[in-house]
Amino acid sequence: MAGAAALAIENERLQADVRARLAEVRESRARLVTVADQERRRLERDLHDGAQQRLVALALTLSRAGERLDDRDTAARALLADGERQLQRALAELRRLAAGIRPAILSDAGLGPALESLAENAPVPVTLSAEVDRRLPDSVESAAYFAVCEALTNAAKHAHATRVTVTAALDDGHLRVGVGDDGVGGAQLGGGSGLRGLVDRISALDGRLTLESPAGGGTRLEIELPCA
Amino acid sequence: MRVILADDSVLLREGLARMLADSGFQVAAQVGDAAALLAAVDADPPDVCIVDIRMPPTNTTEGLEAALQLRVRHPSVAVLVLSQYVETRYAMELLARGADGVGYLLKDRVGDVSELLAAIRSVAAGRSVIDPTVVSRLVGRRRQVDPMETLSAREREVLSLMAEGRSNRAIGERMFLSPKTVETHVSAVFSKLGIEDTADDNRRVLSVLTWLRDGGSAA
Repeated sequence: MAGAAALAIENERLQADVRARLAEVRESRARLVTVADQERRRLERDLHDGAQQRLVALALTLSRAGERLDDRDTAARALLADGERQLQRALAELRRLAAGIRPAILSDAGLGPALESLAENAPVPVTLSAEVDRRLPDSVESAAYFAVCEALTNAAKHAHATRVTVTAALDDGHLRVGVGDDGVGGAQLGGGSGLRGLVDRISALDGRLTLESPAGGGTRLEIELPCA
Repeated sequence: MRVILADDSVLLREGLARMLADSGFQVAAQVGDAAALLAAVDADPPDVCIVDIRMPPTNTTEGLEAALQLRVRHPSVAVLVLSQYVETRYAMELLARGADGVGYLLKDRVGDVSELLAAIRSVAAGRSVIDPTVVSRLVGRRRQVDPMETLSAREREVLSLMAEGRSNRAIGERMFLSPKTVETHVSAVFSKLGIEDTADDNRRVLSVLTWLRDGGSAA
């Protein structure tokens, strides 16, 4: 009898231990995602305020040099023009790079405006209904944003969709985002799909991602993220 | 022409100041944040302010907010915002309270001195200037039911140039068309897209941009 009681107590203790460890792991996973997001934000800022400013100043210097150059020196003019073109390309690349890390509009204006900008620039027509009228935690905003990004890319590239609907709304302390397209379906979370990384990111935030994509029946992605 | 420069990057500010001086402008003041900009303009209003959209303390859009305040406090001072953002929302915010004498140019454009000087002179003359990259993003937008498809290539180009803030005369010069032909294209664009025509160039910029942003997307 005494042995059985001791066993039950020991069992209880072990279970409590496992629960505590699980909670710890969950918290540290969420922290990792949050820190990574802060880091992205800082990187984006450094690119804009550091490298980009310098390149723009350089463009200005080249341009002023060009004005002092003798018109008859066609070889030097051609070289300078080439340099200016390369610099413009570098600036454009830098802008794309910074946007891929964390778009400034997401940091500055939040999820709603950032989704608007995505829809505006999408390779397929997007109908957007975003009812997110407040700022959410950085990690939630960026997980949702990049999920929509990925879904739009898939819709255009693999699903050959002709239209996409994006919805985002707050509901009872949760952000719910849906992306549906009329493409060929057959999308999967595994493999090389960019969705895999998102699943990890979203579950680290205690959220859920579901994907429905029957062959020939379009694709529907749904995300739910707590953001009390 | 007197200019105030607001940019927290000293490197860029100095470069701009030198370029402007070379081109015959008088740089009245150089400042590094929005508060200093407002103070400088209050103290001695210039003809034009050139304002970086991102300045301390938060490095987000304080330049834009300062520009909007300047519009209210000093309506006669033209403002050219230099931005790192292609986002059309910021350009629209800037124009929303009157498009006369305001401009939204991508910072990359600074490398093209003649374009930059043209933009400064345009806003100083009371016109509006919107960066071609921002406009082309709006013009290239995919729409489900797309009235843009009914436009000819010429009409599309006219539409883009209108959205950049150019007058009929400037459009004609750029496309090598007579004023009469430009007018024909302009009215074709308006009737095909269902935009209300207006003789006022600045109001026209706003209505064209608004249509490009919102109008065509409704299915």
